[in-house]
Amino acid sequence: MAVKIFFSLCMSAVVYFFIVAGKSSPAEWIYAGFLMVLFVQMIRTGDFSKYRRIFQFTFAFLFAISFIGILYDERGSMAIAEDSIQNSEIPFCHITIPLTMLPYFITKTVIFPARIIGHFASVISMLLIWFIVTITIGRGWCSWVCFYGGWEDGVSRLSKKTRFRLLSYNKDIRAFQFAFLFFIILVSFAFLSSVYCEWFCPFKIVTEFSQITDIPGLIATVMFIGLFLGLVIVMPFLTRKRFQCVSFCPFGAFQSFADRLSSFRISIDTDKCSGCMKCASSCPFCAIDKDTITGKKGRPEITCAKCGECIAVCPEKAISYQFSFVRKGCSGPEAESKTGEIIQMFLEPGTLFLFSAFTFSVIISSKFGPDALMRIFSIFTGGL
Amino acid sequence: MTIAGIIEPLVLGFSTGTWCVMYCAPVLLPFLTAREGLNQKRNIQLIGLFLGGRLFAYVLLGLCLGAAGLLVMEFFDPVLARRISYVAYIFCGIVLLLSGFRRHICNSGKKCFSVVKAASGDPMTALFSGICVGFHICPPFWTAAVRSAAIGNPLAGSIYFLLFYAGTLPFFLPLLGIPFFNNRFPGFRKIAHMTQVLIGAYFLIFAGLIPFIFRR
Amino acid sequence: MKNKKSGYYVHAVFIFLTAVFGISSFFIFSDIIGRSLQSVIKLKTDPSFTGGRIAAVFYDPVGDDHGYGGLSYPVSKNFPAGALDLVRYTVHEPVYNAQWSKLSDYWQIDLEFTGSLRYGRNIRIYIDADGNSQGALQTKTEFAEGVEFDASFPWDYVLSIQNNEGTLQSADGLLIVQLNVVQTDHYKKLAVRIPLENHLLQTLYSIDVTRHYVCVGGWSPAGRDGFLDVSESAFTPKLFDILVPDGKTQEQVLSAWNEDTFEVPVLYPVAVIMKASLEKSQLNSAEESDELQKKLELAAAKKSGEILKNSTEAYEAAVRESPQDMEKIAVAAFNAEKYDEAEKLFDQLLMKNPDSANASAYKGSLIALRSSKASPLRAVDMVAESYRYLDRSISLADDPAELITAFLNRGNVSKAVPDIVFGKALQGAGDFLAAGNEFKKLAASGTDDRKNYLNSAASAYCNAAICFEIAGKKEEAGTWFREADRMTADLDFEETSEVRLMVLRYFKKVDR
Repeated sequence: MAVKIFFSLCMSAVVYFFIVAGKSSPAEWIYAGFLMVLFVQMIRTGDFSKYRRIFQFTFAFLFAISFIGILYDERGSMAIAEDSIQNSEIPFCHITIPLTMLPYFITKTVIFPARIIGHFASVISMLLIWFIVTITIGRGWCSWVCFYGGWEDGVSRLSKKTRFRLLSYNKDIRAFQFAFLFFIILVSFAFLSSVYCEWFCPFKIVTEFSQITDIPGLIATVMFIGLFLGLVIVMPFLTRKRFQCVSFCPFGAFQSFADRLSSFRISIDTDKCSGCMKCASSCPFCAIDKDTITGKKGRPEITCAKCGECIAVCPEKAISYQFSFVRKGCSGPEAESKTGEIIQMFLEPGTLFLFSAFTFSVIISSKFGPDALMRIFSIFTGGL
Repeated sequence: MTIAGIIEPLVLGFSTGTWCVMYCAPVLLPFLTAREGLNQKRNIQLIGLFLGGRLFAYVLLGLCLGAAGLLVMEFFDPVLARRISYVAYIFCGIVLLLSGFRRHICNSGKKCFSVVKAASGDPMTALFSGICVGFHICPPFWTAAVRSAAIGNPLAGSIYFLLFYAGTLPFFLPLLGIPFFNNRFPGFRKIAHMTQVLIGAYFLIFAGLIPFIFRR
Repeated sequence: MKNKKSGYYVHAVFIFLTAVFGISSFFIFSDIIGRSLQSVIKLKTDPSFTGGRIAAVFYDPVGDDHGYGGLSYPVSKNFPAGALDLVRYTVHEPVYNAQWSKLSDYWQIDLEFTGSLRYGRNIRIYIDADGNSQGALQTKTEFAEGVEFDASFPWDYVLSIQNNEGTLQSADGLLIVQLNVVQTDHYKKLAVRIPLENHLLQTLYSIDVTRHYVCVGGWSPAGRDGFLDVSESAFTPKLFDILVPDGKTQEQVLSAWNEDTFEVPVLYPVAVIMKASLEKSQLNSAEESDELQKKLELAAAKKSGEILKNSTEAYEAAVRESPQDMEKIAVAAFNAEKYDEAEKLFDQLLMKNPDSANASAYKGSLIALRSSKASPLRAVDMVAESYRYLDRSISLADDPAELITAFLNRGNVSKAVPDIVFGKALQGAGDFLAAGNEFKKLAASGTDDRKNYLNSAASAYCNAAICFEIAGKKEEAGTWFREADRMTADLDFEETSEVRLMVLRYFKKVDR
């Protein structure tokens, strides 16, 4: 109990500092309250995944409203104008990071017309966020923070029934995601252009889009809308999986590799596991196969985003969060005294992961959540 | 030909080798990695064919530009250069796709056209894609083109190109490591195969057909 | 086993600290971390998006938007001050195969003005692209601007830019191409893109030198070729600002008309070396400038010694002669570098009158000075406190002298505190420019101290330029160093040694 209170207090300090401090509008207090309720529920019930889903979908929705609103404030339109490109004012998103790396070595420049520093969506801000996320929660970004993934998380839960089972295709889907990552990296390198943003981004529709001034522009827009509908709406609805995140998103694939640097992983206790496969069918990231369980691998596949769904459904309580430095199949040392037990409670990997991941949730959403609420209020109170 | 005349194109080739890697990597990397049972001998063979194809394209361009002499300088035309590139991408895309789907086409039970079968084999794919890559006209390539055009006769033009080409070769040495990589990560072959098909489709549609039809 | 266990706890405690404190602290300090990172890796956006690599930047004097010397702005609110005052002319290298742009192949030229103006500029840029004697020597429309061109460099193309649209036309009139003109930075900057898809223009990719005549006039739909009439002599050029090559002045070039002989002024072009890497420095030789620097350093040291000596004497005199005037003594103590004494006095002054702008300004500076000796964390707080005083002093100041004091104090603090921590360099530049402008106004009011005021203004501009340099705005820095250089050119060498030294150091750096 003391541990739960301690972490709740710490989280309330984070929420207060990043959301409420220095501001006074009710939107900030409402959003802060919402986050605190989610966190306390997570830590109280131990059911991380349910409240995580609520957060991620809400955040994705609010992010779209706030981001589009900010674009209107800054440039008066959702469309990318020629002068925003000339002034390098296009927001830089995390998905672009892997695409700009190889071209950097050729041109010694960033092949994206974004601000380098001094803006929430500048190159340096994104690199810093990526760095701290990578060494802490790794691919946990996808299930705890990503403001795009939230859409799929929401849609995949609209239907109670799985209409299309993907389990037997897991390996191919994962292979495709990596193939798509390499493809995008190589063609971005060959054309010195962020090709993903030019043709393949499914999220233009909820952020910003290029003006349609010619037929290639029209084709690109059809692709953007098609990819959003197909990969973010239809497939998640049919499969109850984060289909775009697991088959398409280059950042997700990139982060699967970078996850090796993270501090946490999911561990499957092969002794306790009864092989019921509930974890595999519930995993939204197609990261648990039959082979994972029968081969007693002791951990999910590389695309695991640490969302906690498998932990919630495992009837044997065989799945848990673990520190990455603890070798596969091992667990932490047994406590030998009362003090040792207390210390271990504070150092419990699941709680520390939750605290780390939710800290990111709070900080990354701190600007957009209240801003979107304000915009929504202002619509109801008669102005934009 | 003076020593300076030999060194200049070599140095130009070497200093711009990274640009050549930029054009060649998307074609060669997935193609080589996706080959089944690739040993070092086969690897060198395929790289050799690719480079031979590229050389053929360069010599052809060298001859044409050299023969055209200074006229070429007056028609220094980025729009034309880009259009040649679009066509090269379309062919390169087709070559990569055919090679990627070869098994599906030829094992589908239907009688496979012998031409398709022969053209989509690994050696032919390496050779054809090499030729296509050779026709991309990149900025350093233009420098070489303008220099060779300034020389004004076909022989000198071709020699200039050959030396420029030789200067870019050291950048291909790392490709010799691919067989070791394939042995170490056997699961990667499937991913490389998918990558090859995606790149083929991208070259054909997005880098070739769409700009060729709709852009200048 | 024991080792393993302790290893586990060390790791786990580290992760605990990262989770509870590390992530939040990282975000709290992310601004500083980001700035520090950027100062090391120096990322930049690919130039093909922003106009291409810069081939040349030309700096035109600030405030010379008076044509031949006597033109004044039309009495209309459409022409706010500085709207036609060209300060920088930037020529980029031609770009080939640009991504994400309407134009894949283009050549960009930027014009920057001191004032904002959305509608009202009429600009002609005549370009000699082949360096030979073919081309035209008259303006595009006869008698429009009222000038002719250097017979050695007839123009081949003219860019006509009116407000936010423009065309390129060849001298023979056969080639006409629409330009892409984008106004940015609150209509102070025009980015002009010339499409290079036409075969005839593609020689620009391989050309080494182009020569440009840049003419800025006012726009009026009724004027000849859109040039606003200046209603003086029929021979007065209708140009408010032009770019002139080194060794000539705008006033000298534009005033060379003669009504009796029907002569009109002849313009001379600036030469642009189209590949930035080919450009050779045109500055003095290294030895010459080293020698000059030594001389200036000596003079500046001598002068600052004198100033301190005078300040000390002034302080003693103030204490002796006007012990009641606490502010005078406090300021004198500050100037004489008796900071503890000064701070005590300013504290007392602020107790008496919390709304004293001067006391606030000096108090802010004194806190910032003390912060340089404090521990880093304490220093951050102290600088924040110093800004509370400095910002307040600016809001309280209501006469020129108080404004100058407030701006200079805040500017000096902004220049001194590390920009990667506080990000104040740009604000500092703004403050110094404001102070410089106040000094300039005082100089123009015709007092005996004109020279001193001009020197002070030049010094403020130099400090503004240094702030711009710190903030990474090289072009702005160039403008203000050059402005300071021009202002001190006719003044006494010893008196202006400090300004001259700053300018020389800048030129040596650019040269290198």
